[in-house]
Amino acid sequence: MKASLLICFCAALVGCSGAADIPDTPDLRELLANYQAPTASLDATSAAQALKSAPALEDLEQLSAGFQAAQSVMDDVDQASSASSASTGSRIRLQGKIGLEIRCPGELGNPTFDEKVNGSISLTLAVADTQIRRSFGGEAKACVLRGTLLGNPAKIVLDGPIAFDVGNNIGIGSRWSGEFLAQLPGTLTVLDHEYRGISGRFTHGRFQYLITLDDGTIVLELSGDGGITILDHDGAWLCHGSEPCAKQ
Amino acid sequence: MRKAVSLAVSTLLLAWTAGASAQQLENPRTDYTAYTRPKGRVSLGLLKTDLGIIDEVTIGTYPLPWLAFPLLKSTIPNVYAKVRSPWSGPLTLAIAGSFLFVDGKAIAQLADKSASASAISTTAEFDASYRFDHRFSLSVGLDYARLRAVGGKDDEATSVEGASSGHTYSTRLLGEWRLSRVFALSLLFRYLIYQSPINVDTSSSDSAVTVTSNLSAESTIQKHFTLVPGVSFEWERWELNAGVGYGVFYLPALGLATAKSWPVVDLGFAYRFDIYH
Repeated sequence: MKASLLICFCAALVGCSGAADIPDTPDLRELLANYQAPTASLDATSAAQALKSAPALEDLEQLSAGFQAAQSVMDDVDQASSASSASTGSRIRLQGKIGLEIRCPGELGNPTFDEKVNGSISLTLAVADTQIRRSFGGEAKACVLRGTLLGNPAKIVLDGPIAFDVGNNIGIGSRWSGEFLAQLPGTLTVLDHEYRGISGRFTHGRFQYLITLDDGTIVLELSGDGGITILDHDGAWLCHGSEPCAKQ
Repeated sequence: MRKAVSLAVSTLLLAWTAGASAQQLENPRTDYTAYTRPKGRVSLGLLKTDLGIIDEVTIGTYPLPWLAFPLLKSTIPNVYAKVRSPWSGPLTLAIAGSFLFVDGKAIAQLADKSASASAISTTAEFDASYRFDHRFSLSVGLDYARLRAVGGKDDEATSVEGASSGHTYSTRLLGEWRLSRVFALSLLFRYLIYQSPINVDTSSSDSAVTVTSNLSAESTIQKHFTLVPGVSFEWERWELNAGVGYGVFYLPALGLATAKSWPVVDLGFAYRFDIYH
């Protein structure tokens, strides 16, 4: 009896802990695994067919510009990380959540941070063990961003739910590493082209786009020299213009 | 010669201890024990001032926070009270509580010029003291402290800059060995049972982004023990308690505990007088 009273008393103490709740984060592990390890196995013929059914190079460049613009939210995540580090030291453990309400700058060279004009993005970051968890999500409301397409400014519009995975947890006070996977169940509009329910990834500075085929997944990668690299289960195929894709 | 010195020391100790009982009953130590001030007696000190309303009830305050105006542009009102058991006998029980209010102006001076919230500290304690004989007494206590922020208006603040709250639970043991009417040795042992994470809501904004956070912070190296040996002197009008030890340091009046162990100084100095009987 005394022991149970003691346990109840201790439980009551812990119940008053005041620890902040850690919000749920989007689970992008399966999507990321598809990018990291495509499942389809191609040969020269199927690689050519896959390329025909894939978005054209111009579309990929537009998507790259769109995701590049979306990646700009990481500046605000870095800012939140920095701001939250003010009162922490190596001997402090932080947990809880950080909310970002980003007013989008618009497409013009001179940004106008007015959400009524250029929309907004809201993000919720989960903080555990003094780190911002690698995946986070939120919603874009007709967010207008300035992108760059083939060296020219381009209007980018994000709308609907958004989810990101940035490769690693970000230590409070540290900066994002550069990895970026985005899932956009809503719409991404680049110039006048609207894309729905897509995902894209930047890794080591290269843009990747996932395609699901009948027999698995492949990843298209802009190779930077005007070509497209197809990543499959077994390796990579380099495709240039109308030439047959070459196994790497 | 050695016998003469030994005899002199023994005589001195006996003379001291002969007066111990009366002093322990008339002017018992009130901090870390269940004892209260006798009715009508004031103990006036810079660190702590209290008054025995009746034998069983003592009220008091910590004067220094009241005098913080030049530094903080605001005073920090605080009050505490202790009620002990009415019976006589070796065992005394008591409950006590305190209240401290820190105005937003003071927090702005201390932490953030833009802070608008105020802070309230409340503490509660339970004490039990047992007097084994006229020389030795042992006191145990359980302490609870809560610090929380409140908004400038009616609602609880959402931002300490904004808002925070923290709970601290600790226990302690004080042994006092009175060697004479004036002089006593003491040993204070404290154990921090639990200190909750401090929960802080913040908000910051610029033209492009508003960042709001609800984060809790806790130490990864929380220490728990404090040991403070000390001495106390109870003169006719003056009293002095002084101890130096090591361990977790509890912020006076607030009751919050440090995460690391530090050298700990425990000091009390006051002048006593009676205003009624």
